[in-house]
Amino acid sequence: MDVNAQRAPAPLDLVSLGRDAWQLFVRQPAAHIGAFAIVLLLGTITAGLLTPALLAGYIRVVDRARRDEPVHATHVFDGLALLAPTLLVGLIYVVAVALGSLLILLPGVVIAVGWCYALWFVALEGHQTGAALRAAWALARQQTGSLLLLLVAVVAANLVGGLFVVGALLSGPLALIALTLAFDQLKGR
Amino acid sequence: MTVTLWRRIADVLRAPTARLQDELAEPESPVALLTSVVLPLTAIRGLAVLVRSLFAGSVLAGLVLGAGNVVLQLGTWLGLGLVLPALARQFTVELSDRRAFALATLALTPMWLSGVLFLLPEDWFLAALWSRILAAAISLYGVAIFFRGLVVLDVPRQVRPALTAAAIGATAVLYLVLFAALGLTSNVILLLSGGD
Repeated sequence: MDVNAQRAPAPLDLVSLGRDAWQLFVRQPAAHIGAFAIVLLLGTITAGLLTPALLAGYIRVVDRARRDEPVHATHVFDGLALLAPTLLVGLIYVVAVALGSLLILLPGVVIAVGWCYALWFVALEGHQTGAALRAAWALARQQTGSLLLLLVAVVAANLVGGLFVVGALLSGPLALIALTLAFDQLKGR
Repeated sequence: MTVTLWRRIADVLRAPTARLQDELAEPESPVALLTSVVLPLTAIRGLAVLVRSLFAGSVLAGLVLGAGNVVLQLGTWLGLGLVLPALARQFTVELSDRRAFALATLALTPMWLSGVLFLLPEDWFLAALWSRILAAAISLYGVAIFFRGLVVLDVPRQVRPALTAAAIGATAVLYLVLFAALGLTSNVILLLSGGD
């Protein structure tokens, strides 16, 4: 039984993705750590209300960085221009995952995975709430295995990073950079 | 290919390579595997937890935790089956969805069977500790089954250890995430329902 008769290139190459994310991070580590710290700090202070907008701002920071544009930690505040759609996406996401989880867990997990890229569609493609959720769901349906593998890798990296204070400051931004870089790959661009 | 559940279990324990050859040559659909193998076997642990809780006088907790344990194992199987083809492609190995689910089913069978250990009362001679360690040890037999599966599938020798290690890591992450979410959800459900 030869399963290798038709070798296929990986639509999502985790090794090169990790390498690219690391290279992007080390180019301007202070900006990435600073931006991530702002997201964490202001997100916590505002009980999570600003987290989606600031995350969208950070996603745009990564997008700028990969286009070799200068970035600064305070660029995360650009995400506040997207406050309404990101807040709605965040609220719908959290409520749907929580309610789904109460129905014996799996529906919540399916929603969490299915809509995980909704913020990226708002931040990078200018979608409104409904369109972003629909686009994220469609992407997850097309790339279920690759997306799940990416999320498993991100969780694993954060579990390891979470063991150390410095590790968390590295793994958090790295995870967001990797997810942003993977966004285009998953969409087949 | 119709094989009874008992025959399947006996084969996995006694002659896994022959069973792997049969199952991977003509893999059943994930839905067929779910109904004929996965649900009955994951129910072992769910029922064990339920019975243990009934003896302890915690009916609601038994129902919630019993169902939760079934979902935990089901979610791990589903996640592993979905991830395996993408994981295999990282090593330039092409693995079909059906074969991935068949392999995940056989590799997780020891873990599902070890669910019977959850019948033991947790406060009985530190049973909560050693029964879980024993269950984990039994589950490790699934690693050997997975590795043999890669041999049966003619996966290149040099990538087998790395692919096996990656699959173990993915399974561990899936299980841990679902376990944490299950703990949180169960507590919320029991709190909302005023249970114990």
